[in-house]
Amino acid sequence: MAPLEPWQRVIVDAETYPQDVHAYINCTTCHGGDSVDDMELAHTNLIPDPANDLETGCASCHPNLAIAENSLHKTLAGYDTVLYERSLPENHQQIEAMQANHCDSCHATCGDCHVSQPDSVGGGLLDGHVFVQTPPMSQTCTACHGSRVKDEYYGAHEGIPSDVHFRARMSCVDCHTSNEMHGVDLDTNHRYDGAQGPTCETCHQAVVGVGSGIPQHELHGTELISCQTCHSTTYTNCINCHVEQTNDGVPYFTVEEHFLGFYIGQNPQRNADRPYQYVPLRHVPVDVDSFSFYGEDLLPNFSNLPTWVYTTPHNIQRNTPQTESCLTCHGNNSIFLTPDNIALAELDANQGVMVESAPELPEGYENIITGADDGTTPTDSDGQDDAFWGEDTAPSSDGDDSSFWGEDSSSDSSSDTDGDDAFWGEDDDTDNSTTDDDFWGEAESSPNSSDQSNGQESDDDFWASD
Amino acid sequence: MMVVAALVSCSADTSAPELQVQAAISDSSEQHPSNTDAAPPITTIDVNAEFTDQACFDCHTDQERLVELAVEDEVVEVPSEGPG
Repeated sequence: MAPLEPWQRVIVDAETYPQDVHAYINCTTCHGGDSVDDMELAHTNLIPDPANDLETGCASCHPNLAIAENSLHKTLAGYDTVLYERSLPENHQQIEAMQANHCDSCHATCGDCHVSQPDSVGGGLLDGHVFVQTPPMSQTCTACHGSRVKDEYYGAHEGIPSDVHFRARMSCVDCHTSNEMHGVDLDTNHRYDGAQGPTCETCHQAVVGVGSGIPQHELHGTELISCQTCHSTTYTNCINCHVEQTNDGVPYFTVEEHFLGFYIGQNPQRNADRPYQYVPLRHVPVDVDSFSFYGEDLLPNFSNLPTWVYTTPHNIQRNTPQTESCLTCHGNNSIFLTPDNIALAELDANQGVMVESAPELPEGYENIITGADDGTTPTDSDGQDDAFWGEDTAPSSDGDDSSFWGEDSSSDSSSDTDGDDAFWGEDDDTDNSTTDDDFWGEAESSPNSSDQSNGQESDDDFWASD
Repeated sequence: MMVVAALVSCSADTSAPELQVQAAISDSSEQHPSNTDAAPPITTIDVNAEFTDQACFDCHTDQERLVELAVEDEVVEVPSEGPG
């Protein structure tokens, strides 16, 4: 999204803001300063973001949301959790200095979602200071969750379709509840701590695991592999990020390498909440020298955590090469995180997640093999299969990728955004695929499937007023 | 209580903008069928209290004035490379 002009960031809508319940509150009550004509005097002791201190800000009227002070979006505690695990207490001060320059712009207050855009994209009021109950995905969520989640969800990677949920016109908040965002009933130090939120089973209970009637689900159950192991595709992996400052003190980062890949490994987070043995793993860009600008040897316990981490790619597909054939995984080392895929310096760190070799197809299951029985990975129309495993784009110069992805007809990219602006925000790079009744079948997994199958009414009817 | 106290202390003789009283509180479950979280309760707001910060409102709703007063961003070259 393009940054807002300075005046755009602060303009209040004279027509719509007075309709907002917050308009009954004097500006200075929340923002400090003074209501006078002179700008400098008016902005003396100004509080630009009253939500930064919940107790005196939003929680003064919304006391039940005071708990959001401890939400991961507010505290960014997830960064601390992983960095401190790799470090020592005597290095924390330098690491915090690093974070202040390179990480904290993603710190999100109530206002950063409900009134303005996050600082990471330059801030500015979302809608003339009207308080938005449902933050627009393209202006808030993806402002911070951009290079991975956004690109994967929107289908920004050439040849890789967008997530089916995006094609079903679902936004982040359709799965990620406000309780999750606000940290209600959660006591976590990392986004993958504690109970899963959301879970596929919330909407897809009927097709999960034993009793689903789906052979692959019956066989694998719910604890051997995560849903994403079969239903996600290649995603971004980053190698070696280094942070530093220019001579003028401007913070910047350099990622040595990034690539699209898909690797199944052993679950580093295996517990009752995430019982899976195998999950997709994503390489994170931390390196033992990532923060060398801020001090020497700041990560002496670098190998305490793997560099290939539990991931939940937001590029879910109903049909993938994994669902097409058992042999896509079984006996196929190329889809697994084997030692030869791991940098020598990181082998120690990843001992707990790598797989020595792909599990073989158990005896007696040969009769249920479908698709490429000769053990090769499914090929595209050009006979190439590296489009899936590497950076090459998906096959087919004519744009028809159905031969690669199977019968998924939801790659239709026709535009249908009338009336969507209030929801989708001003991001003009969204995939505007129509909903796909034939993709969802009886659409037990689509929250508003009855509306979609009847032919969608206006977007206002679907999303209700914001 | 803090809000009510604040509003009481701001009584003044400047005219308030015409604010339409409207129910802005809605049940979030109506908007997101898949999200069953209830709308957060709020404390009482005195809807009859005068809005007195007219100067703030007048300036911040005046695009021309904001353009005139805007402090242009300093263009800073950030030599970052790769996905953030």
